Amino acid sequence: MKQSDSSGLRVSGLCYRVEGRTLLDGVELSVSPGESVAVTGPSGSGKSTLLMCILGLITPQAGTITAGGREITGLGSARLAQARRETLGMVFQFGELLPELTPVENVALPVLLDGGRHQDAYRRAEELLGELGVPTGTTPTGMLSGGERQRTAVARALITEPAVLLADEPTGALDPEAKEGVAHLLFTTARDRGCPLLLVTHDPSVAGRADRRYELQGGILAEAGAL
Amino acid sequence: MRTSMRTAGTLVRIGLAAGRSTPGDRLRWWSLFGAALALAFVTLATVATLATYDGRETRADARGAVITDGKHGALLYREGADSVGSRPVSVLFLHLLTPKAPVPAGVSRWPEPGEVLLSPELLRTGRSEGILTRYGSFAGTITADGLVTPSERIAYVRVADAPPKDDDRWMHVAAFGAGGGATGEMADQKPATSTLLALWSLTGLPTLALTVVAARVGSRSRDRRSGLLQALGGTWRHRMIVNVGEAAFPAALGTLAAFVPYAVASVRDIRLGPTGYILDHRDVWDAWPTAAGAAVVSLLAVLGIVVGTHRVHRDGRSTRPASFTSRVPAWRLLVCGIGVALVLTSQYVPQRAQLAVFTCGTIVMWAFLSSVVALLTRHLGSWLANSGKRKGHAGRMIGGRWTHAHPGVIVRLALAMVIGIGIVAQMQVWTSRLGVHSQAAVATHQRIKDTVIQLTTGGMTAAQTDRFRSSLPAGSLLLTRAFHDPGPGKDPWVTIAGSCRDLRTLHVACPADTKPAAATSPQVQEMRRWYGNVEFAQVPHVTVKPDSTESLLVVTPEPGQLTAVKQAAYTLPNPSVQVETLGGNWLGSSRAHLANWIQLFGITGILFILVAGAVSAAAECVRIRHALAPLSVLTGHRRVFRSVSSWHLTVPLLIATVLTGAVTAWHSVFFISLVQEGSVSWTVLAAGITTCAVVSLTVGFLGARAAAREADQWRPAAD
Repeated sequence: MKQSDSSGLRVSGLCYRVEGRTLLDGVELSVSPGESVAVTGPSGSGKSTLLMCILGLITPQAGTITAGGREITGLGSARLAQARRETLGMVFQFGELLPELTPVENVALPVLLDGGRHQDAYRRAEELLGELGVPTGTTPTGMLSGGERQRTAVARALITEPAVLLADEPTGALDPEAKEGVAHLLFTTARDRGCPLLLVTHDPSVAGRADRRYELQGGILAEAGAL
Repeated sequence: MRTSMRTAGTLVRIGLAAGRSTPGDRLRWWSLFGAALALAFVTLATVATLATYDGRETRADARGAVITDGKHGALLYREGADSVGSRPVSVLFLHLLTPKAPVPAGVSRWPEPGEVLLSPELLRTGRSEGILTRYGSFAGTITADGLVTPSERIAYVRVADAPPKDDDRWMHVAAFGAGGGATGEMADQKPATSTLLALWSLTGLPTLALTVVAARVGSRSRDRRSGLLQALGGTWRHRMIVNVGEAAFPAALGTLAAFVPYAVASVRDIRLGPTGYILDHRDVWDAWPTAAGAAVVSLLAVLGIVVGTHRVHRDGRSTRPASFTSRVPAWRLLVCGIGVALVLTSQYVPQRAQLAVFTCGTIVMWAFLSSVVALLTRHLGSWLANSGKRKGHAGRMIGGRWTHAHPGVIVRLALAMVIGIGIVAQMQVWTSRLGVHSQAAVATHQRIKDTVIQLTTGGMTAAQTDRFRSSLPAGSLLLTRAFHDPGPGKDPWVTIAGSCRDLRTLHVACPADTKPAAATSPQVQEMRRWYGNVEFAQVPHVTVKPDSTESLLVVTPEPGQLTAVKQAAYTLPNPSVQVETLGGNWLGSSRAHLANWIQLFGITGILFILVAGAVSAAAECVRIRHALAPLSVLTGHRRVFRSVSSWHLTVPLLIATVLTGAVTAWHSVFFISLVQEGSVSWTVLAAGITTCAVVSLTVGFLGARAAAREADQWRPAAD
């Protein structure tokens, strides 16, 4: 895999309040290239909100986010989308794939939408899916198993070779074997590509694979065990 | 038993909860409500129609004259016809033979000689045409018991003088109320089956389409649920209970809502839009028990459609619930082909069976067309997706895959358009089927208006015709028309006779004239068109023989004097005359007014189909909105939403529009060639196709806009 030239992910003084609840209260976080960080915490503690803020889907009330040397906060929607496309790769909890498309088409989609060469996109998608053990035939993605779908989602996040990789409960709905497979894939890919990985999970075994573990509670993000 | 009841209760609760919590649930709720309302409305309209026919027969019987021989007659009775505007009027002339002559229903006592009783509708519509004095002095109205409908135009005229004894059109009547009569609106009553056939083909079919569309709104989550229930060991009964539980509430409320117009129609008389027909509220009121039963059937039909459109397909090729790969069964394509074959071969079967074969073929073809459209749509989607993939066009690829996976969306929208264009085309074609005589009457009226008026009278002497002439509008010509029938093998002819002055006014030469007449007048040309072989003769005095072979012709100097001529005719000593313009009896025929009924049913049907199309489009916008929104993470461009929406919705719908237009044009032309009358209006067809094309573009635009708006707020969430 090609090494990324990303300069990591930096989150500084991030605050987000909604309906009187403080979900993020001056969150500070830094993930270096090739490093993996797992964020755990009880349901509703704001773990996914942190990822949504980094992804630019939620605008925080305060704080800055820098990904791949590019500041995400304060960008207009067009430039934010461009930054997201070029810098961030995201694996959603439920994949968010288009079930009618084949796995190759789903994986190639970000490149196609960005106007990239489609032949290259299909070839790269097939390579990624092959590495991840997902069938590359004409079967619609919706007909694949949960593990295959989630691996397809990982491949989609990787095809643009993002500077930062984000994952929101990527193993939440998988059986132990599939969970292991997807977790292994995410951590090794991030390490091999020198790409920072920020992963949100409930699963201690998955979180245990990360270089560092953080816990989010009451809006405060702290190293695991520090709270 | 208790366990199964408890299970059923739980499943119903699941269904009820599902109805409140699925994406686009409000849309489905209102769609089912609207569909149930529409279907119950058509069902209740069917009940009202049958009840009305029943009531009409009863009232017609109550006023029907019992004809007898001269010895037992209590009064003399003669049926006549007139018109107010373009509407026919039934005029019943009476002469009492005994002071205690019986009265029909709706009449409490006979008026005095020279007086008339009018129906309220005739009074209302004829006031401006002098109906209050046309047949005599107005003495009162006929009550509702004596009218088959409140919109009936009928008059009882008690003539001032005794009718001529040699006029055999007068009949002796012994009583009323013992048999059907063919007066008033009963004169040309169509069978109830014709009305119901028109109602269900033009309004019922779109209603059923609306119900199918409403049942399938947001079907994806329900299909998954059905698959899950099946996987959990649920039977079709369990799935049915959940689906029924989900749909029962809106469907029941919609059915109940349909009783609002029914209730209104059962307490007050309602005039039906373009037809001018007034529903008698008593008929509707009497049919409440039937209406209640019919509403239950309608509700069950809605729920049956809901259950029937949520079957689980098991093709044995996958372990997963197949929610979007189901195939179109081959037998449905075969049946559709049989329908087309029936239409095509209808012209070769015996003439009597042609229309029946054509109609059967048409119904089968339309009923199973959805399967063909689904198959074509799937192929089109696959082709688009592969083409998009080859070219690296993400929008075309996604749109094509969606079309391939969810052909039902396109099928429902396309069928709404097919039925819509079909109804418009059939309305136009049927209303153009006036028949040769009605078309000729319309043409004559366009050329000479009402300037030639025929009067069928009893015998008239020269003195009487002179008096009549003096009461006509100034400048009017008075002629007689005699019909000659030389017997078998020889052509009949008509002699039109009048004074030389009158004939010359019509550019007809008199025997004494040395020069031939100039170009014939348009009035004479029209007389030749209607009477065929016409000879003109000069007579010093105009008289009418009492043997019914002769009648009078009045030619007015300008149009619009028909009312004045009628006024003069009905004040003749024996006013039991019939006055009509040349070909006028064809202008006001029931066939001419058929167009109004077709309009009423057709416009209602189009309204329902528009709702069906709108619901289907809105449902797809909801689905597109949710499905496309995650792409916002992958791209900042909005053009992908437009692109997907265009390739998934607009392009297939435009193709469906073109095909629909072609099929409709072929079908209409075929129908006309079969019945050998009517015409296809290419303007109307083009307008229908243009409307559908605009709808296709609008649906695509709205889908893209909905997705783009959703994308702005999209957050990943569990489904």
